[in-house]
Amino acid sequence: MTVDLAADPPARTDEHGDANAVPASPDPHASMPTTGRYAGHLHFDESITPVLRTDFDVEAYTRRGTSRLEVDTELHAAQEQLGAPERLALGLLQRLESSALAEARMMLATVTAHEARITAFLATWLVDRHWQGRALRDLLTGDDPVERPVAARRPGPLATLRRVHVDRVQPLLSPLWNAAAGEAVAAGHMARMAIQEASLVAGLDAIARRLGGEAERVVRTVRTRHEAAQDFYTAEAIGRITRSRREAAVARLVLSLGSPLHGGGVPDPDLDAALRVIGADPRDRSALHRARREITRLLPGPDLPDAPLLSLPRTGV
Amino acid sequence: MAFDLDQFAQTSNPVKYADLDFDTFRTQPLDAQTLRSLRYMCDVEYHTSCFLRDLLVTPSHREEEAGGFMTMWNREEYWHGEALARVLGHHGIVVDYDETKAKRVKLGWRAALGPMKQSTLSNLVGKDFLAVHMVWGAANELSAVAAYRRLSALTDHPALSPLLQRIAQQETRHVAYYTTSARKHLEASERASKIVRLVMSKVWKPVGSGIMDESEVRHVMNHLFAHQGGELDKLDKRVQKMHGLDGLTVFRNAFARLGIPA
Repeated sequence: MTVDLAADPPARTDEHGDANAVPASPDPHASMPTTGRYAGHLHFDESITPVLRTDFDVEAYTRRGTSRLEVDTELHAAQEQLGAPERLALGLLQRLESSALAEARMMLATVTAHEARITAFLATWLVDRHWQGRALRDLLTGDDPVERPVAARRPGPLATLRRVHVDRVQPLLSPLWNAAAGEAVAAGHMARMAIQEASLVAGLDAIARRLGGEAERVVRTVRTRHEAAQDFYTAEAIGRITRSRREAAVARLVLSLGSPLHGGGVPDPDLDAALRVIGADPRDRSALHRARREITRLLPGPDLPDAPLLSLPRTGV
Repeated sequence: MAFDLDQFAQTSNPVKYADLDFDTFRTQPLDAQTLRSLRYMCDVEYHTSCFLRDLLVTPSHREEEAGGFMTMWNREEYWHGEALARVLGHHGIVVDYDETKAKRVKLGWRAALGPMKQSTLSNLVGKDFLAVHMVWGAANELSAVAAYRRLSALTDHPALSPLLQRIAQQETRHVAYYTTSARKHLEASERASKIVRLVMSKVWKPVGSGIMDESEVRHVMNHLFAHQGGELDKLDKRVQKMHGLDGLTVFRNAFARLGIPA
């Protein structure tokens, strides 16, 4: 059903009996097309590239329940304590989970923010990652109001500089990204997040096998929650990378500028040590490499390895 | 009273409208003025991800509580946009992904420079910028609640009015967060109070001003707030209760600058 949008009166007379002081302006909807491809759209026209649509159902995702992942902290405390290596690896995974807002910041500061289907997804994904990070935090520090899973090592000078860059300089550079890469930058962001999500799945799988009881249950639940995000980002990345060489080139550039394992663009001081725990078994090392290769195999140019993964042994991969 | 982020996050649910009979829009369609105002509200709600972006380039994103709140707030506002888009859809106005993208693209440099401006300001001001963020957010949410309630009362529609009341109810939770957090930051720093006074008295404009054409801002504010000086005073009083902001007339000033008769 439609209404006559051109029927807006020239000025409103209110209960005070006088016309408003502000002169009425024409309703833009009055000139909106009512037939054809752009019917009902005020802004969408032939000058706009339609959003990419993959098989992933964003509407269903945004309507699904995203509640807190309950952790029985009393039961967990009564069970066998986490070993130091598992605690180290889980700490890294928890901080990576919790970097979602910082990752969103990187995406939204550029024209990726224009992609309404992506931002619709992000609205729910951020909540998912919030609760996933919280569940892992509850395993590591209980429901403590203050204590947080901090890295065992101190950040080096390069990591500190990187943090300053991310906090203070990166947003100033976003107009440059927009001007240079345009919409293609979204391909890079989707590729980065596809790798990060798949790496989290690989990491959680690896650690879950080393745990038991409540800790294993929670880690497996978190891992399952990741599947939707992995599917979304992978479909988006592949859809964009394979549709144009420019997007593939920009994706390569984005991946070459920072590891997806550096949550929010800042290296975690425990990353190398935690990767040695996560990648102790050859099948888990394979899964970590596969998480990246799934995307990088589609990019132009030679193989694009991830620096943090290079420290892992290649045997069995 | 402290804001309970866990309680807020665990009770963050989509605004309900499945029980509302949207078929009543066939027999009682909304008038053009109301649709124009609803469109403004829908665009602003869907634009929250871009407001989020502007907030994330400030020190706020490192604050656990602020980050948690923004995560839930962004999703609730998305749901509001979705609900309003459904109402507009019943009147032949399409606000889908392509339309939302087109709106953002056509903002051009105005939107693209947003993160840079915010980041530069927060780099210059430092941690006290958090107070500006929180008071600005409180003013936006207070005016949003008032706008939804006013439109609900003006239309008195069996489907739209309860929907707007429900959205307003969720927005009051956002007001609670922003005002609680603003108080905390204002009480911690006299410098923050001075900066907030300056920014809010000179710069604040009704929510949506940065992204909507001025003609649309004027239409909506005139439609909902013309000759509502009493309502503006109530809103100003809420802001004046915060530490160091006594006597500040944020809403009166901003609406006067727009030429809205009070």
